[in-house]
Amino acid sequence: MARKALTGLVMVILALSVVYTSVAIAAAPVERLVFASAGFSESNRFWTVARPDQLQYDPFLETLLDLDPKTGEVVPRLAKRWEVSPDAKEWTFYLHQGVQFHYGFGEFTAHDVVHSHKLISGADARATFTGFWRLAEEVKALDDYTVVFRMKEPAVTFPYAASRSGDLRIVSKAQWDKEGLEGFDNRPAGTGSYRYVSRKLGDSILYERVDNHWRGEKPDFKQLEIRLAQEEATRLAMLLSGKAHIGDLSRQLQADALDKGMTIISSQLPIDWLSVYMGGQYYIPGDPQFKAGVPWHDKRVRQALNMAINRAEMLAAIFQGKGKPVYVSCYDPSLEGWNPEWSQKFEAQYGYNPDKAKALLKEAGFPPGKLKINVVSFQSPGEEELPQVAESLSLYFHEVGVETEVQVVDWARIRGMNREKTAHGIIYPNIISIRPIQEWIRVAYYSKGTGHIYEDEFLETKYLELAQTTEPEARDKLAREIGDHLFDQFADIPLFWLFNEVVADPKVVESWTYPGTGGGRTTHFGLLKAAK
Amino acid sequence: MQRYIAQRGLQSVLALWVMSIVVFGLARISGNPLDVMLPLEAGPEEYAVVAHHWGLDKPLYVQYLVFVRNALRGDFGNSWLWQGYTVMGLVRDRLPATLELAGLALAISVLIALPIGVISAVMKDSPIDSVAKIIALLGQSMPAFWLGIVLMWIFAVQLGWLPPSGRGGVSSLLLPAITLGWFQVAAMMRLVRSSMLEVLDSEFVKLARIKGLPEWKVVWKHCLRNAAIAPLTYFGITAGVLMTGSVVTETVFSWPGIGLLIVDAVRARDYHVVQAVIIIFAAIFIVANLVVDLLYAYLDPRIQYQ
Repeated sequence: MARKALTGLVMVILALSVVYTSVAIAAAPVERLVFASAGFSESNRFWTVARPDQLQYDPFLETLLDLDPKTGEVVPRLAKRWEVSPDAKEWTFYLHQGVQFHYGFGEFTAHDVVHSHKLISGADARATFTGFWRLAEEVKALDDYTVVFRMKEPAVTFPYAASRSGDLRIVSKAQWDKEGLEGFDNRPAGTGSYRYVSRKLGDSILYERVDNHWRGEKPDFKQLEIRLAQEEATRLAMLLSGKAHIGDLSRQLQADALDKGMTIISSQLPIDWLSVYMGGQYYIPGDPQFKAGVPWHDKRVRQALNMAINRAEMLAAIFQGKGKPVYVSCYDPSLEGWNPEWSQKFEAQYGYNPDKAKALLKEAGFPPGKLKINVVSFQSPGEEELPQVAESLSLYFHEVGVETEVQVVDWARIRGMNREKTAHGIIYPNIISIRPIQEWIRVAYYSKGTGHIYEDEFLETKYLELAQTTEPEARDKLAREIGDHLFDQFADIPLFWLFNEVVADPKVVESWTYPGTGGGRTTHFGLLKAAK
Repeated sequence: MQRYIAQRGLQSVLALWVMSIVVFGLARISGNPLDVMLPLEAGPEEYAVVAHHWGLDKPLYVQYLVFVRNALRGDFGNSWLWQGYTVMGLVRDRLPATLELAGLALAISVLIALPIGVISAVMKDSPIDSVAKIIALLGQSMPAFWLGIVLMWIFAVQLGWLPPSGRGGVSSLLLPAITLGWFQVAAMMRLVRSSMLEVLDSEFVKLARIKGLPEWKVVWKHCLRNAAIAPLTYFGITAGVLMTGSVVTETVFSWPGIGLLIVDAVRARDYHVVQAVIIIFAAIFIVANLVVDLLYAYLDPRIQYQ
């Protein structure tokens, strides 16, 4: 009897222990937040890494200017204010005082800005805005808290490049002088609300919260770990098994995550646009790379290909309905040159109308079955939908009598063809991150850029004019003229603006406000809010 | 035997040299690495600066000679993708992870395949033999990436017994090792079974039984030793295959080994890393096969190398 009672007591104690432990585990706050990332170029040398791989620096390296996490507006950060000369060639920044670098490397001063600029404009630099930073004729510390940039040409996009959207990460000159490149590689000191702890190549990066941040920022999570996993099924498994608390997931797998109780956290602003580009459009007279006979040199064909696509259906099928329409690639109401008339004219000129598309093709000399085009696509971690877009284009074009061959290649091949202007006869979808209009026009439509997406005399002239214009109204007018021209010429097939979305465990992460337009897409890690 | 080893050594050097030309050429045929590494914003000036910085503006034969000269000193240059890391540093950093994974995968495959293969041969056409054949069929028809994801789903997500990815302790090694080794279990088991079946019918086995030797000794000592030649050949190839075949498994499980390194390097056209890893893989294959050939002589004294 006594033995039975004792056994019963032991069982009760064991049961209570299990319950208590479960409750304790469930209630214990997460100290180390794990972010499952699709991957990026791994290096502490920020000057060698392009967007969006800059996300790995966001927690601990700050910039002169920031982006408002809700509106994406450029706001002060390490610089408390700035001034620009009337010709937009001289930019002066007034820095905060008393900002301390991590690991005891002293106070942040203008000399650190000069040093950081040297890194990002050096011979081994290949960051997104390295070309821009190399336009600086002189970068000088006027005193410890004032730095001036003197540019070779008007630099209206300077605030963008100097903000969290850009890549001029401020690092310590004192650390460089003391420890050199090796010391920097080992443990770079920044000024962020997290500091860098360590990196395991191919595996993860670890940061820890700084308790005395210069701005008083104190992230909810004591440690942040970005863990790499290229395979999205693996990232899903990490989230569902609790080994990661937040992470990148393609839209297809988001539904599975939502079924298991996860939540989606979206960027505040749309950050990427998806368009389809038609290669070989080099219309500047005398261009030796121009090759006659490309079907879409005829504007009617370009319009027809646009009208063959049911954008609403594609958005629903591939992107779960999450996106806004693009009317002209890169143009957004928040940027220069926006014309609200495009949204009114879009349906009539670009809207889904397979009968009109067939009529246009026939008129252009391509009755059903006569036109065959190559649709090429590529896939990269974090942009898994492009092959599906290519396949859906094939289906839509087939409906209007255009035969296609779909090939999945690697991005570098498409880029090489664009750069060498040999992209005749290919059509390809691409997702590109938002940027200033002038930057996009330079890359895509200016003959001395590298995109060579659509070139003609009008765009060439207008771009050069825009690059030299500093007055905002005049710039807006020029940018709109360019946009109107692109719209009227059916330069490409604009599709959707997409938001950046991450999947999170709501038991760990309550919310995260970030604009999405930062250099790493996911930014402002210090604003991750822990679930209560 | 020494002459044989010396000959094989020279052949290996020749094979590696040919491999270096092939991999150097193929890497460059794949396209310009700057198209991967430079951002969309990079203009012709940026291309020129970086190309000069990396020596890509030199003639191909000059690039090859520089590569060979440095490689002979064990210096495969700096990685273009992993800035701040030398290629050999990366390999040294990542190789232990792959060796760990391949080693456990090999051990699992041998420990499972050998006894099942032997028992299946001894109990031919029995239910055990049927089960073994099914395992062999499944093992050789299941793609590694599918198996990996299924194992991850069951043991990491549903049961929560093992971590789904990453490297950290024995528990994180199990799923990728089983995924990597499973194909070898099937292949090796079939080889052991068929070799054993041949040997079990031999005259010396009948004699051993007539002499009254216990059955376990007949099977495990006398038969297995004689049946081991064919599986041993496969064992040598397996060691190399497991190293190189880790690419898929390491990608699925985010295992930071050489396989994942080369996937990233190929994607980014990091020629230096690609060249180094392929040459190292080739060397591993060559050494593994040489060791296997030498083991033949030990197992079968009739084998004499001229």
